[in-house]
Amino acid sequence: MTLLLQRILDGLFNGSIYAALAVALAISHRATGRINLAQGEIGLVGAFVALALASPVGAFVAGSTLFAHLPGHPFSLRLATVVAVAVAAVFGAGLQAFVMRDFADLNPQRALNRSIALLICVSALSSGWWGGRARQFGELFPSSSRDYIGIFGARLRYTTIGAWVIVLLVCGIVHLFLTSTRTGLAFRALTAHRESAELSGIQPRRLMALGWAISGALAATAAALAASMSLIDTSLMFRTLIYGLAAVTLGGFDSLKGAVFGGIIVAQAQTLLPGYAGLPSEMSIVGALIVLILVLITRPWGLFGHRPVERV
Amino acid sequence: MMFPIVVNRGSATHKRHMLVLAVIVLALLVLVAFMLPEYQVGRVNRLWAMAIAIIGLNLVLGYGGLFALGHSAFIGLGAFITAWLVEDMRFDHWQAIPFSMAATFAFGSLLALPALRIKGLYLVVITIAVAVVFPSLAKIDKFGIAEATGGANGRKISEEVVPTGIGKALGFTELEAARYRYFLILAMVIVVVFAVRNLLNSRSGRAIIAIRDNETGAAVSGVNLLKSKVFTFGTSAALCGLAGTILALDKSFVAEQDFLFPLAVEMLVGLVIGGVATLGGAFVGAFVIVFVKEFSKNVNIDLGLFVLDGNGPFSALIFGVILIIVTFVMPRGIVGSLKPWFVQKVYRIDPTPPELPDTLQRLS
Repeated sequence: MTLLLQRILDGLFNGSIYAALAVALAISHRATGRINLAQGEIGLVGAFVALALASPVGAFVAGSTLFAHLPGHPFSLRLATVVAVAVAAVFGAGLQAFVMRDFADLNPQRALNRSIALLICVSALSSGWWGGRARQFGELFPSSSRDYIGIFGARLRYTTIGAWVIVLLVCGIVHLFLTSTRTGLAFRALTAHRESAELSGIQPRRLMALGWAISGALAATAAALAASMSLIDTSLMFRTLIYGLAAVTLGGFDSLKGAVFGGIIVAQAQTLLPGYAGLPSEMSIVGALIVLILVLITRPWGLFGHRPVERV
Repeated sequence: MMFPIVVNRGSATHKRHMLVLAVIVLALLVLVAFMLPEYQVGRVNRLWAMAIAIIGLNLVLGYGGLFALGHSAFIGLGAFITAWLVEDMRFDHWQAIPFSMAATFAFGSLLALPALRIKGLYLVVITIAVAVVFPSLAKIDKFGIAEATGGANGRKISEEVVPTGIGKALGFTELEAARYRYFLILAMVIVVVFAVRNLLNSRSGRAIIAIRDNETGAAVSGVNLLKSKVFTFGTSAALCGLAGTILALDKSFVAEQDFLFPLAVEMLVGLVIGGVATLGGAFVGAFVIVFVKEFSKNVNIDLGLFVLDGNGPFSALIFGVILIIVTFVMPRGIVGSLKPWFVQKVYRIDPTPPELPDTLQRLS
């Protein structure tokens, strides 16, 4: 029983990463109506920027050495991560505005091609800069062996709590932005019906770039969390992307709530199924895949998505 | 000679032209085999295999309109089954072909079942996941899988395909094994091209295209969606399985790192460059990807802070850039874009007017 609880709690950390990436995918999908397969790579660029800023030279250039002497040792890494999240947002918006400007107008087949092209380009360029070896990212939260809360003998680590606080905070801000600001309303109008939105004076280009900026920031958050748990290398976010895609698919592409739930479910399937079926760890993705296929066969539009109306 | 040349389909002129074309193409292909040095022929063999695989992908993606990206898994499965049959089961090389095709057909059909319900983006996600999972499944140390596939180190097929019997009689020596294989592979390519062309013109082929154009409409018109989609996926997978068999037997070596997700991306790039839903495009696309890979092998960009290794990231970058450019300026691919021009300006096949019934002929 304790083991089960422990596995569930361990799975929660990955859940936060997948949830953040899934929400990022959902937002960029809402912005352009197309799936952005390069989402993970955009986030990865953010995480590498954080790493570069937190390195002695980068910290010096960015002026964050000023803060490095403050108590709480990895302060500069945290500050660098915040800056890098903003950088990733700008990067995402820039990609949307230049390389992917006609993304929303392409037919699905060509949009898929463009999306894959962006994925391999960004991934190749980032392996040009940071390829070769895996690097230590550092800790975002206290993660020594004593930093946990005991729940019925199982350990809920501070990193998990911290990750979820961050992810829920960011998702909450995005949700508030979408529901209670004028720009958010315009964004939702664009998602609901592009033509009508344009007729009522909404400028789609800016909003699409904005959507990609938000999703870039979310993806960078996911990447930083994933990197803080293990090492960071150039294939980190492609691996995560598969789970993120599974999560957003599970929840339905148009639902933020669904994306968060999808992240939790995928992470639990990933930890629990191989653990109890006695399969090697490479099979963990198979567990997620099986859950995904089962859900989609019964609800092809995802758990929280809207059933599409088809006209002949 | 006046351009465009216009012929009637099935007329004597049309048949003569086709015959001349076939002779020229065959002569060129034979010439290529003897002009190129032996090690270059091995690369052309890879090109043929990729072309067959791209035709397979085209069936699902171009003609079927189903967004499937997991075809590297089918190629890998075909290759591993071939290695296992030849090494462990002591099959002859050619005997491995029907079995690996049958196995990949079954695997592909299995994947088609979710595709009945799952569409568009959702299908993309599932097939990408399959492509990503496959290599790690191929090396897990359970159920004897790692022994059969060679695990992470790969597996050598100890018995190479070398000239025997007729091949020896035709004068191929052991040193020219790749050239000998070239002709065997070429024969398979020709069979595949004609089989797929006829398939697309047949009832089931038209059903596949009808489903792409309007699924509900096709179903209402009496197309059996289940049968048709399973058949499309299965055939497509079987072609990729054949490509895998060819790759395995040509290199006499299989390893899971040859069948990673980038292979699926390469196939997509080849398909899109050549032209989606064109048969000739597969060859143009296969040529481009094999050429780019060979070209970039010797490139090593080192700018101090920015290092691109020719084997991996550099070719990926070129593919990505090509794909972006193609989707911007030539969305229908090379063959797809040139075809209207070719038909208008160079050579056109018009449908033959039907024979007039006797009564009308008497009137005129």
